[in-house]
Amino acid sequence: MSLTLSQYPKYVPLTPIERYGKYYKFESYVRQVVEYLHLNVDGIECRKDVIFDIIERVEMRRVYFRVFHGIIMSEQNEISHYCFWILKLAPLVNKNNPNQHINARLAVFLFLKMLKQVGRVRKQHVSFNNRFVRNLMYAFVYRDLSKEAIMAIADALLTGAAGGTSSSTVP
Amino acid sequence: MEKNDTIDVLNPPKSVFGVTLKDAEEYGDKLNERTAHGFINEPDRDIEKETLWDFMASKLSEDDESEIAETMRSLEGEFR
Repeated sequence: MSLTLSQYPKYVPLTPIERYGKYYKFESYVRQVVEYLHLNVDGIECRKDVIFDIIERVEMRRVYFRVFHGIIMSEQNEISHYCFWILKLAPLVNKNNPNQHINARLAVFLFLKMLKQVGRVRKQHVSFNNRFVRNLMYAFVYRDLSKEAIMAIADALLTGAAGGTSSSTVP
Repeated sequence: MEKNDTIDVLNPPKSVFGVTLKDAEEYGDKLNERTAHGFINEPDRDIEKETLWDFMASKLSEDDESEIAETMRSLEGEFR
């Protein structure tokens, strides 16, 4: 028998410890990425309130996956969601170069890294060339991509890597 | 159907608004099937011990790291 609306549990936000734990992990990773991209860490401002918001929204989607689909949100979906919210809410500000699209660069990096990591776990070879990355960056900066569209892009690339040959090179 | 007709739930009419009970059951089965097989695999990591960012920081091969570095460098100078 299906539940009435009032019988469904309401989403419980993360506790402060959980939220801060995820924040420090994320912020630490972003610092490494900024250094990796040879950007001046001192010039990058990381807005804590925005990151808290992003973390909470990703958690809401994790619950949604569990309640409506009965599955645990995978890494590729979770990173896709982080990419979406980073593009939407722009947690990073580069005070030295505000026009550098720092958030889009971070999202591109996370997306590429995610593809490689999931490929590593699944023993699939995923590679991409400069043209693909430039198109992805352009889409992240100028196009309206939904969370589902970003997930679908990742899924298509990884499915392409799995089907047919053992490797997939993105054109 | 007339406006004041009631629906016998044990013996529903063959088609109500173009959807039969059998259609609804088949759709439910397909939905379950899609849920089970149509979505991304569950993560392989132990999510209690390894967070998403630990996963993302896992070491890749040198070729993979180089590929990411080179493609990110190709973006420098663009989109300014």
